[in-house]
Amino acid sequence: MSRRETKPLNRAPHRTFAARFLVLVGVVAVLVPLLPLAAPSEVRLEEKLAPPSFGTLWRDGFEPDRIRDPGPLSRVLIDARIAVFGDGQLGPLLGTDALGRCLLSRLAWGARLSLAVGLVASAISLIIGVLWGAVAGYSGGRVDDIMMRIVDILYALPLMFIVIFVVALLRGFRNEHPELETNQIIVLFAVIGATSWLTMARIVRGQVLSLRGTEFMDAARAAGSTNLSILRRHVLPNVTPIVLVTLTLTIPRVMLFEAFLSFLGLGVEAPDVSWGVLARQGFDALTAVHVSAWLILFPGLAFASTLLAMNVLGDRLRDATDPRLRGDRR
Amino acid sequence: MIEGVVVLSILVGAPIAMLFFARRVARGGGRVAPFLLRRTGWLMVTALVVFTVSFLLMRAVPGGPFDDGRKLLPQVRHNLEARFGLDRPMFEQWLVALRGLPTFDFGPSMTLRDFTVQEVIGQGLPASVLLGLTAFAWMLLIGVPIGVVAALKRGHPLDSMLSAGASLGMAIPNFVLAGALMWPLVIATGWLPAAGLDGPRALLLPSFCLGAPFGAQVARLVRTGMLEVLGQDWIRTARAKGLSETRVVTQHALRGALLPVVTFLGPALAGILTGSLVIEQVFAIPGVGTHFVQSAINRDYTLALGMVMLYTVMVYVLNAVADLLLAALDPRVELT
Repeated sequence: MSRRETKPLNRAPHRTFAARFLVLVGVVAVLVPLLPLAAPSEVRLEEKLAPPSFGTLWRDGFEPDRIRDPGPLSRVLIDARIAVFGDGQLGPLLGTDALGRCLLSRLAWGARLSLAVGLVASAISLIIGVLWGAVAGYSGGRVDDIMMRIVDILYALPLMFIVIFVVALLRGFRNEHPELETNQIIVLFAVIGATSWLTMARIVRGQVLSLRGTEFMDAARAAGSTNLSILRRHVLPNVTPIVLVTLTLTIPRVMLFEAFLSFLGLGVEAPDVSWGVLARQGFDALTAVHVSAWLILFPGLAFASTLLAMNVLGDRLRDATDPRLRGDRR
Repeated sequence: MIEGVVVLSILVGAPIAMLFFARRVARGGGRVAPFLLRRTGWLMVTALVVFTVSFLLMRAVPGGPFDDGRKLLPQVRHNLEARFGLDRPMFEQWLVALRGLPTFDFGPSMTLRDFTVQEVIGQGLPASVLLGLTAFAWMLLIGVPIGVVAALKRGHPLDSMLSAGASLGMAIPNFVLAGALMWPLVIATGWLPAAGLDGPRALLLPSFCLGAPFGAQVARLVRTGMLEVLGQDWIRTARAKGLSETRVVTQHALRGALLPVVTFLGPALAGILTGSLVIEQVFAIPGVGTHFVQSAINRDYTLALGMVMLYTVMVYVLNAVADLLLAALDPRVELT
């Protein structure tokens, strides 16, 4: 088994490269506050729409107060950063946007939010989907029928449109009452996560159903294991590979949806930045008289390379876990 | 209101009758007829559920269509609310709105003056349908040839190139693609118009941007399907018979390889509809997509309801068509 599993990996160096790239993006996203970057919302109107250049590599003037309510972790990292770099910061190496904000810094901070949306929403869908699928498949019979019927009905609904509808309704309410501090990002997590668990539930249920007939499950039951302990010790470990595969393919989908919502003005709001917001701003800068290609080029590149790496990694995991789809058969 | 009760009883009664009837027809050995009955029945149930949920959601969010920042005199507001029947009990409003469901006749829009919901849909739908169909054509036009070539050249650098391109195409949001193509084709050279929908040239870029990401997925499906099929015995037989390679590929292999694509059609069509919301905004296409988002933000109760129902019905019907097509191509598939 191990020989077969390692063979395709060795033959595909670009796939391990994808994994390394993702780790790099993840580390950058977590450690952004530690890096000597300008504050993402630091406006310098005298530098607006400056093209990428290495003219100013390093300069002073970091303003930690411009980073809007950082969490406890970010605060520690920012303190550490100030201890190391003082108020020095990198110049706008990738250019600036219409308000003179540093694109490099905004890309790095955007990675944080985009990845967070992808991970948290996928985690929500993972929890709901695995529980739903495992319970349905394990219970079988009438319970299974009803639970999967509910999934079927939800599948038939145009969930995307209902999500957009709900988010737009809430956004309209927010626009009229800006004094209410509702956190749009949490709404985003919840709504995306709550609507993308269906595929996961189906896959897990199918897997659990096929496990039910196996002998080691009968043995576990005969040995007096409770349902809960069978689920935990025998069922979950066996569905983990396929769940991981589905998860790696869910994250890019969720990130695309976030970008889509942000483009429509329904997702992440200023002053927060995500890659979707940056792509939107880059697009707006493009249609203006003054063509600033870097504003769409770099967010687009960041987005596409990250999603590409995730898709490649997901494919690789699928190939490794599903012998039927393995590429060496013809 | 009375008409609302009639519509309600039809929407509740007809599906039950249809689902019941579908079973009897199915026992008689029919295949397509019970499918259509069943799907129509479920469509009605879905429409009623989505309608009610959207209606309640809209009313549950505080504020209404006339709270757009302007201060209205109490009397003016009262008159407006009376005109749209917003002062009546909620259940009555629901019934009145329900009356319009079969024909999308939800009355006048609350924020677009002098337009009824039907008029907005009637003016926008042709453009949206045209955009969607062209995008669909692009999807197949890009996906199928690339998938076939990649499969035939398996392991060749061309295969790696095409497959990498397909993976990349799946990872790019359509508006980034639009931006990337707009720069050389529209802004720098002026070859294509930037916005609107005057003539086929204007349709070229928007539909490509909408369809290409799905084309990339189709290419991957076709490639996998072709590789699967080309290894089968009956392909070897066809070759042994002395058929030309073109004939083997186009008439024998492709048919089997396209089945996964047909199962993907339902999600793809729904995805194209979703993506059109963005593409219509990007290229300023006068379709219904813009209204979908804007009416919900404005809490334009009538128009928003009309839009949600329009997209619900479209997604549902397109899914049913895709399932029907799959069953026509693959007799093993059960029609449910």
